[in-house]
Amino acid sequence: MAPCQFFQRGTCRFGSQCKNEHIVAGNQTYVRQTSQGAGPATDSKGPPLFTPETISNDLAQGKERPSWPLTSYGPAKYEKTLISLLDESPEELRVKANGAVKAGSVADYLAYESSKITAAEQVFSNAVANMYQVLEQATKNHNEPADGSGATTSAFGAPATTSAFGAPAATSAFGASTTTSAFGSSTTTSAFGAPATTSAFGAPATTSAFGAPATTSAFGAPATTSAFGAAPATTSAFGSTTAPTSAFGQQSAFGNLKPATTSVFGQSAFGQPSSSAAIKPATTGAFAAFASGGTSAFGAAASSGAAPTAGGFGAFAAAKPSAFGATPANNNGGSVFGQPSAFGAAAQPTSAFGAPVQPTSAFGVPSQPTSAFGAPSQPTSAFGAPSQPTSAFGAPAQPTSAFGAPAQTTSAFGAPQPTSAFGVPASTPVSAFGQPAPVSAFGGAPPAAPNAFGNSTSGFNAFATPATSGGFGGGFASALAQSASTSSAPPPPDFKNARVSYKQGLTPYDSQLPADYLSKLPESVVAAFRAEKFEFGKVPDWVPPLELR
Amino acid sequence: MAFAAAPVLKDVEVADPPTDSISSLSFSNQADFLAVGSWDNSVRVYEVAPDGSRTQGKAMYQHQGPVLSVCWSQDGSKIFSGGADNAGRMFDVATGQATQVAQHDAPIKVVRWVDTPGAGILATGSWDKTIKYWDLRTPTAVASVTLPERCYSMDVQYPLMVVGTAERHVQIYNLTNPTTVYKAMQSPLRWQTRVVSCFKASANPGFAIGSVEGRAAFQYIEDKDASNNFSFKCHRNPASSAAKDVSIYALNDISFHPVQGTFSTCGADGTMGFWDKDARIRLKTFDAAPGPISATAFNRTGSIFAYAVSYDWSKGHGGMTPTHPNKILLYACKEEDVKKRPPK
Repeated sequence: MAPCQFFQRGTCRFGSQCKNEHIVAGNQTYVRQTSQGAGPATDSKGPPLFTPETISNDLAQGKERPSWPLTSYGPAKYEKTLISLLDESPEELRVKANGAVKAGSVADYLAYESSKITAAEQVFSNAVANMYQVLEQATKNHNEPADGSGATTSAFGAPATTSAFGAPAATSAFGASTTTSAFGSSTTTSAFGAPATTSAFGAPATTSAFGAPATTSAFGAPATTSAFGAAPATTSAFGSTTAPTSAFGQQSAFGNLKPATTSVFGQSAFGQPSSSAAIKPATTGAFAAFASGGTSAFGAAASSGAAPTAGGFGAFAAAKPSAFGATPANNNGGSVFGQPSAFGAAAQPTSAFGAPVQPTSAFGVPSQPTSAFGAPSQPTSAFGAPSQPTSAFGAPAQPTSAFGAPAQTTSAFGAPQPTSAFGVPASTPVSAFGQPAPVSAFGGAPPAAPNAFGNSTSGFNAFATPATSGGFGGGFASALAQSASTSSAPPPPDFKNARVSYKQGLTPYDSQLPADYLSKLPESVVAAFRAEKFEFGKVPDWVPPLELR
Repeated sequence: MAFAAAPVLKDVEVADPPTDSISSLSFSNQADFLAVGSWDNSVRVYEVAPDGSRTQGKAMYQHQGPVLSVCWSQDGSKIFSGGADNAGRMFDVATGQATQVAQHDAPIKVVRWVDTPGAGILATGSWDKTIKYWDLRTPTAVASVTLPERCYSMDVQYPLMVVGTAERHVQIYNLTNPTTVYKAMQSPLRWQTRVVSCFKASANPGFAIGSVEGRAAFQYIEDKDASNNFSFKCHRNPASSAAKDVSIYALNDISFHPVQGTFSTCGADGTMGFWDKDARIRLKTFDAAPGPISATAFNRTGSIFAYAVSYDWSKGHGGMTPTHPNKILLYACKEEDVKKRPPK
């Protein structure tokens, strides 16, 4: 068999069915070259030889940029031309000059010459200023199969569809569009105002801001490129390639999608899925609320009914003793401000503001589950959103988080569901702070009882125990808690199948528990932990032992 | 661009040079005649003494626009030229008659004679993005090849033809199949192509390519030789790339010594060099001339090297001054200047 020449070039379309021999070892394709000590040999599929540094160096006056300004540019040998449509040879200019002399229009020629040079300088400056896009386009070109043809995408092309700034199809960031250019030229003009079908540089036909002809960008990218030359169609100025991309290129504003186990901030800012406030059982400092497993940033409760709850916001943890000194245990849930809350609210469960109620949320909203702001209703969010379950912001839905992330639906910010407040889709439900499953305070849509602050499945949410509600939990906590699943009338949480998001070692506090902790717990406490669910009034104040989580 | 202040040229000046810049030089393969194409619309033919010490104007004919390229037929009986009047013309040395033999839609940038077995074909490359092949007996092209972009340079070393176009495309043709591109590639250089020139006297076919970036590369056609591909910098001031502010000049022409296979480069900075591509060394550096070197050529034995000092438009309109040097010089090559070195 004869060696397949196309294969050597990287363009054989028959592949393994080719009749010719595909020689892999030994000689590479013609592209291999050893220029003065430059980089390694590469074939068209090897790593690109250019870097942002080499490109910057190339484009820098006084470094590698040639004196002749009207030239195309490719980032490395054999690479597709990256900055195109600038080429005009000295001879071409001179022929024009000669013609102008004959016609007596030398001034026109001079204007043409200087405008072309200025435009070229502009293009190069833009390239230097937008090195990211340039590099991206160059890399893209490099990875495309070599076709040796003229059609290339360039970094700075006019898009057929999107532009850098998300302009609708056929516009570029610089406003070149099928209709107008950034600089207000008439239809299909380039940013530089070239008349339709010409580019600033006089390139014929439908050009983009930079004068790319019809289907190409200023730099010669064929159609469908964005101002920054992102791939045809579907790219935004920022170069992301999928059609629907937001300015930030990601789905959530924070761009992080990590399912489970990580929150936006990495490990949840305030706590881990699994409880364990570093503190020992019983209440502790303001932020120690990490009581009980499956808590969210604000230390939402957990399957294990964190004993200590703690901290200012820990109050919401585990429906129990809250930071404000609610007497732990025996409290229905004890809302932070509840019963007996720091503020001495009487009642059982009452909210801090004295609303009797049972369970109430810290803000005194009576009801079961009520929201802090007194919205009666059942389940409401702390912020008084009525309905069942609603989000703080009144988003209807079910179960919602404090911030209105409907359990299964949208986050406070309206992200489609299930998402966290920050729009992170919560397939696994992610809490606002990235809690994995069950919930996030901000919209994790946890199947199991999300709560505004990311509580746990067992319904000990920040704001209340399920059903009983404590602290603020009352409001949505229970609302949420109730809704282990999402239905308009959430069924009681199913503790058996509750999703526990605790993982060993996830919380730094885990290791702070004494090794023989389990043995230290009173018998009843251990029994309570071991039970399928806590009995109200008997929820231990202790940090759940690691083993029983 | 700092040219030598007082042109102390020991090289022989061609008498009666054209009145405007020189675009192209070509020696006959059969006799010591030199054809010169110029922006003054003329093609001039000179007879050159074998030692390059004298010249004599022999003939001249006109185009209707600047002449961009000249070449000779293989038998030395005809001169071909192409230019900005979109026309290709043939000058019969014996009769002194010039006739139009080719036509394009845009200026013809390069003309090359293809010495095919048989009658021979004229190939013309144009800014209308085509190459056309002409059988001189018929007024229409026998074939036409579409290029991806405007033709900027072209060279033939039968059966190899290499075309350099705008946007850094390089098209390689095997002239036994002249309408099908053999290999299409992107330039090994990063900036606009100025010149492509096929190897002569080389065991393995290939071509040299020069660009506006003061760099030349040579490229072998066969993949087996790919490891010998090489590029190098030239025509930069200062030459050291470590310097802070480097002026980079275009490389205007590359000519191969017909016997040794070594080659010359010349640039917009007025310098020239002789190089050995296999030993990868520079054989000779010329002192800077008083102006850019726009074209070069070796005679048929390689004993005479002609170069044109004239404005190449590298600085646009502003660079054209009435007193700009405009001359053709002949250098008698010494053996050590052009002889191949043993490869390392």
